[in-house]
Amino acid sequence: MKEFFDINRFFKLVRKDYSERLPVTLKIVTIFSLLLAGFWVSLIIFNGSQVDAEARVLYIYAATFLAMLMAPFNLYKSYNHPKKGLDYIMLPASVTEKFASMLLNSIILLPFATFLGVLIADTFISTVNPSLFNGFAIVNLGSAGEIAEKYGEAVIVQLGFIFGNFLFKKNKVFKTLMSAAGLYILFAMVIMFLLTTVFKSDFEALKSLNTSIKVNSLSDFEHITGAEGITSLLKGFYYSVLVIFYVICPVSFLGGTYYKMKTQQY
Amino acid sequence: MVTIDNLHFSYSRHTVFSGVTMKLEAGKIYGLLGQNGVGKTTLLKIISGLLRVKSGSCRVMEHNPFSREPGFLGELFFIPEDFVGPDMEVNKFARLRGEFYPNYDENKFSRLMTEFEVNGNEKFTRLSFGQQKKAIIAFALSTNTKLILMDEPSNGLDIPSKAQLRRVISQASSDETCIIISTHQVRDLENLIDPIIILDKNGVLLNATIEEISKKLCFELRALPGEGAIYNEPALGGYIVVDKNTSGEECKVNIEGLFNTVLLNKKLIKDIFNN
Repeated sequence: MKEFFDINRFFKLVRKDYSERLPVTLKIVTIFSLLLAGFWVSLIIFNGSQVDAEARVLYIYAATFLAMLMAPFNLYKSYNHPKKGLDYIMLPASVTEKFASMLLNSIILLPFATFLGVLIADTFISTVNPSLFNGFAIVNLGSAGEIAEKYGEAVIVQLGFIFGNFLFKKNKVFKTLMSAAGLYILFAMVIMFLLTTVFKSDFEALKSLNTSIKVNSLSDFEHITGAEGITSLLKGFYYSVLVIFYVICPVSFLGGTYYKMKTQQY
Repeated sequence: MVTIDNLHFSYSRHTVFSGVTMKLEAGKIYGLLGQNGVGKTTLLKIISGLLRVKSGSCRVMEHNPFSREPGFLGELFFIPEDFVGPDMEVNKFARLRGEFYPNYDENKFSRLMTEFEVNGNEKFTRLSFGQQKKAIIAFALSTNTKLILMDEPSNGLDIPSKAQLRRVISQASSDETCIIISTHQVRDLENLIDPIIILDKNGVLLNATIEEISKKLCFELRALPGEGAIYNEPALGGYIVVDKNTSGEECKVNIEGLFNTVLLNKKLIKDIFNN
């Protein structure tokens, strides 16, 4: 069992990984905080209008999401590098520990640091200059449930990027983005085909409904389950899409990443 | 320590090893020699668990290396030929990694760094290639692992550092450790490596101790080429003549001469050493 996972060794590894990756983490946090500060300065210089807290909350979420996508390529870029990767792969810790430490750093520590850093910057600017930065973003973040839901969906996308980082050896970011775009287009085409061909009658039935469906996230599709005139087949399709996005995708990305870490040759 | 049995390995269509068998024991410093592309680095990587064997087996300290279990990794250190250090202080690098090795000796690391004249407070990225290499060799030897694999360790080292390298490797060797050094620079490591393993495209041409070699082959510097000798090589002051040792007296082995002799007389050498 100790060869598979040892809690003391895991904490040593987390400490080592965090300590080595702290400069990169701070760099990312600083970049996103400075972007916000730069925006504020530009408002002062060009006499810009007041920015509401809601808009800045969007920036904070976007910055955190971008940091999450950047995390694997910045923190664990060299894992499968034929020369630079040897240092980490030969470290006496199990693949499970390295995998868990990598997830901890990429999914929790870096996003949390970015979120906190930008939020602190926003709070500081809002205190200093409330006329331009109206209200505090910190009190407009939404409920814990909403944050958790957004974070969960961001993590699923991030897991795909983490997998891309281990799948590709060269031009990782470009290839991952292209693969993500390709998958998205393929997924959209399949859904469009199913909705316009297989579920054509359901779609036509939707026209007669006195309901408007606003879709902000995938989970918003839940609302159509209560609508009349929707066949159980379409509902089944909807649940299949949910299972693909919330279960199959993350499990595949995690499994694929672990497999690549375990079987990577140098 | 290392048992390789009927090992086959290839990179897509390029076969590197087909049916290699050998045993490496503790308490020795093996010199792994061979021409470019015969698979010296590949063999070190297979032993380290960086590459997976296609068929046959490679067992290292009773472990399957490719499983890369922590217990195995904690008893092995591989120094690649072109080590690239991270953007961090050498001392910090050693401190953070040292605690993963059960027998890591921080004092030994400091001592070796001093001996190699490398400043541990500098970042790897600020050190020259040779200094980086000395730093990683110092760390490798301080881990006190049972198996140390070095790929061309003397490449990039200046002349005084090569002498220091010989000295520290010799000091690091014990009855429980096995050191395998792959090198082209045989003169840098002469008097240190024993036994000698010579690889070629078809596998192991020679795996013998210096004592065995000197009992079976005789190396002499003569004014003229030896008639009927196995190998003659022009050298300063005459010829290096390699012949069968018929007198039974041991003679000093010239590793470069041995290497060339083996490459040009593969079948004969196999016959001599298999009998």
